[in-house]
Amino acid sequence: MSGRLGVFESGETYLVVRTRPLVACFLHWVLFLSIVVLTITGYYIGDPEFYYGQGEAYQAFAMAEMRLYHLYASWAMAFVLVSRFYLAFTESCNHDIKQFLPTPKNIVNAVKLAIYFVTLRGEGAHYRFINPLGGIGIFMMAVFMLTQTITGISLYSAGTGAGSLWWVLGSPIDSLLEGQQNVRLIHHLVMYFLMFVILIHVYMQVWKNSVFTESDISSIIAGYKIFPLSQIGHFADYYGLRLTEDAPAKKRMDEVSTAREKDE
Amino acid sequence: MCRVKKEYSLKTVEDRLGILESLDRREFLNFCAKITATLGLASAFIPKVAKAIEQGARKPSVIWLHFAECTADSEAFIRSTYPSTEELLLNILSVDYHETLMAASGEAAEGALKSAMAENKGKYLAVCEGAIPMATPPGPAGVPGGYLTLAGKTGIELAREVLKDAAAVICVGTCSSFGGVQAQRPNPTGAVGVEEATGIATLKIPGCPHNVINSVATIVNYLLLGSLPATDKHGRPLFAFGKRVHDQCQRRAHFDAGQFVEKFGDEAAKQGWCLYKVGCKGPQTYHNCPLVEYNDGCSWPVKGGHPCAGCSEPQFWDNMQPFYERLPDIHLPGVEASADKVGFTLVGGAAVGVAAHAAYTFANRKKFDGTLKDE
Amino acid sequence: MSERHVIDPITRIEGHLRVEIEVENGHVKDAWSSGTLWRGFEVFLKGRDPRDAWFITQRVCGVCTEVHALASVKCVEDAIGIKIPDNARLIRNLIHGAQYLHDHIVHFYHLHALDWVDVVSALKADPKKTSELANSVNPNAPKSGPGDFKVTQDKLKKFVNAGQLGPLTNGYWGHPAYKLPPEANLMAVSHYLDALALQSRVARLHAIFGAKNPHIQTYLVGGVTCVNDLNADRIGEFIGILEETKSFVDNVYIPDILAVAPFYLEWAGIGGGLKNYLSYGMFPQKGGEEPGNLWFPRGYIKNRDLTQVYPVDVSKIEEEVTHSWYKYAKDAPLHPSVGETDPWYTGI
Repeated sequence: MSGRLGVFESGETYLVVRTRPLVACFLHWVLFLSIVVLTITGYYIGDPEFYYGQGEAYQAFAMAEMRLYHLYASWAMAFVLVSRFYLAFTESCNHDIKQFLPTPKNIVNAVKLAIYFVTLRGEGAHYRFINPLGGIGIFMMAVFMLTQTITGISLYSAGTGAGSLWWVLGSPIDSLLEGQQNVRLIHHLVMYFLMFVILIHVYMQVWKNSVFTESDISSIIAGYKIFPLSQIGHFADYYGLRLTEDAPAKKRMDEVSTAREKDE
Repeated sequence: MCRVKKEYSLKTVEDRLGILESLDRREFLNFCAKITATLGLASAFIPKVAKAIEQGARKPSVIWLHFAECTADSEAFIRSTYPSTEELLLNILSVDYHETLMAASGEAAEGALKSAMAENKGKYLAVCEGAIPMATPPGPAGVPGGYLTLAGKTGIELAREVLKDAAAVICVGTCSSFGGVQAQRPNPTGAVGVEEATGIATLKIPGCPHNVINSVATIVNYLLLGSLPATDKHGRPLFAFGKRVHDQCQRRAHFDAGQFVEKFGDEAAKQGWCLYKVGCKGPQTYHNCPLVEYNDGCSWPVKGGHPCAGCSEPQFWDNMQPFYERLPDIHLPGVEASADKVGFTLVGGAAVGVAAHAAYTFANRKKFDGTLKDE
Repeated sequence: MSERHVIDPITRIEGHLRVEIEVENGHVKDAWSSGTLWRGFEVFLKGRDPRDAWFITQRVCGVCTEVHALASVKCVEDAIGIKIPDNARLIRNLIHGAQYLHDHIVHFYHLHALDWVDVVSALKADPKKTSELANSVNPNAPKSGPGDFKVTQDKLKKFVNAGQLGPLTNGYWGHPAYKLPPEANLMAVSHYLDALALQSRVARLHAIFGAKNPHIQTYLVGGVTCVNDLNADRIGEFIGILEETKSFVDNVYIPDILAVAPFYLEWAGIGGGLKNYLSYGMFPQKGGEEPGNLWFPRGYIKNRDLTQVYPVDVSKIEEEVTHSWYKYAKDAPLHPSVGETDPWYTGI
């Protein structure tokens, strides 16, 4: 992680922090798009409502097209899941994996934070990179997406012949859930669970962005955040920044650091 | 009750072949061709199939047991056309015990069972119809499995006794295969399939009722190769249960085209469009109905305009209901609703919550100073 | 001096039945029958989608298949006040009528006949005399030449000689209660086999509009689904098989009853149960309301008195559990709609 200090035209010092590499931003939006496509096409496959094949059956492919797009989008989602999982272990994205796990500590802190966000009372704490509420949310999203991928493979495998690769992959899930009908039910239900978490995720990002200095919106679009130095306080050490040489700004940062050490 | 002494005299191959001479050769070969196709074998196998049926010097002894059932699988079995039921019962198989067809009753029937088991020990085919209740009925006489008794024995006792010396056990119908109608929630009699009840591996030909072409094909496979056909993970023969109803359906083109029956009796129903939206379970069901159809290729449910109910799948009574909805309902403690209802409630609840939160925090925005304390 | 006998299983029925009889001086003095299987339909039907009820209820019996489905589907329609389209009424009547045809043939020949017909005695029959008998009962009898009966007899001979009697094993062959002469036995065996082939055809009547048999699958709360089968091809096939079956009933089945009945006349006075009979009626006709428009009218008959038919008041029907393996919370009979299902097994 690195950060860069600069000076606004107004004379105020600002800090630019790179929070994630561009490739991670790109993956996030691919994921976003794929989930949008998956939801729309998936909902259609579940309950074909708004698009009907015209003419003779051999001339129309409404459901076939929807299933094709669903398949393409699911490939995209699976690609993002795998590559994002890989990126999590690289230098540029090395954020402590413990932040995302529903450990007892994280759950307690998440509940505290949730109470604070809802009642505006109690403890509201800053967290390194991601707060436990968001961490658990992202963990749930990952689990749900994984479930969708696995059940999706099982649903896809049902139409392939016994012995094919898809069959080998999908059949154990079919056995585990006692039949395709239950696989279908889980696939359908988890879509709603995913919608539930995504709805809260998007809202919280927008809300936090408008209420707190802790913005993730620019971070997810461009991969960096800009903070007026007057507001950053704690951020300097949070990101373990290696600051670039920019004399006046460096001086200001040193002052901030010294002040913080004194506090402690 | 007096009995005429059995006159066993001629047991030679020539006599058996003599019986077969009485069959119409063309009809016989027609049957062989059909069975060969059902088994998924090349037409070069037709003579071999014919030979397999003709050659047995002694007809295989069949002991057909009825447990918790409705006899529809026996009825289905006697709907055979090629071979005719008569040939099947008299010339191809020796159905030594079958409560719906046999002449004897009571002790005489028990005697027939005992002698068939003794004479063909390790060689007879046991065909099971119906689930086996395992629960104990309430009341002073309740014993485990007491919901079904036959000649004073419980169903499970009889099953263990007969199946242990069978060359092979074939379950016809969904009840004997997986528990069937009586095993649905809350399964008051503790009914389970024969394999689960006895621990003896069985070949399963589910369906409600099963299709006779599949049971006959299985028996021919047994006569032809001396073994039962290859099965899937549920023990169902692959030749009949290897592919989904959906992938073999005559209405599949309408599914891909996005042309659906919205409600019964609409224009789409008259056009014979896809029944997916009115609850067809074809996409979840492995069965060869669309290819072989029932009653000698006459029809099958989707052809009759009714959604497939998934009757060949384990526990279909619970999994596939409601039959006119695509997805099953959710049954959890405190929750009895459709998946969509649960989903809409969840997402709708979140949306309402989020909106309320936004309104509340906006109204109280002064309480926030825009900073949080550090961890 | 009386002795008790147990007959368990009773064969050639649907289900599991045990009968215990007390015999005194060669006559049955008293008898007790028990159905020895309980599956709990009343229990697992609870809480299900009412649209699915007929599908489940049909599985009560696979021999008299369809009838329980029809009763159930009519109940649900009655409860929510649906009037089905006229075509659906016709299709249901056709399917239900086909069930009458099929069930009577199977019941008479395959479930019942072996109690009256001595198969082994048929081996001694003279095919020529059998042919004469058949033609004297019905001059239009099909397949009634001496050659026809010879074929059946030869088939039977070979079957018996092969040594594996299959379903005929341990029959009561030669028992004096079998009264038919060998020729009548041969005729009956021949028709048993004909009916075996025919019943499979008659079942197609169900499959044409009902998708399959046993357990048809085109009923629906509100009508039937088989709209695509309402074409000339299907209707033509239905008429064809119906004609074929009618011809069998007129020329074989009824003459057989007439031929066999004189030998067993004394049986006509036995049985009768409680001598009260109830019918809900069937086959609704066009227009009007049930039960007024039923082709088979609804009614009950008291004490075998066929001159008087009383109207049925369903509210007066009660379920008793005194002689069954159930218990009620209170020891009083209940109307089925409020009946309790609480098994209580006290043993045989």
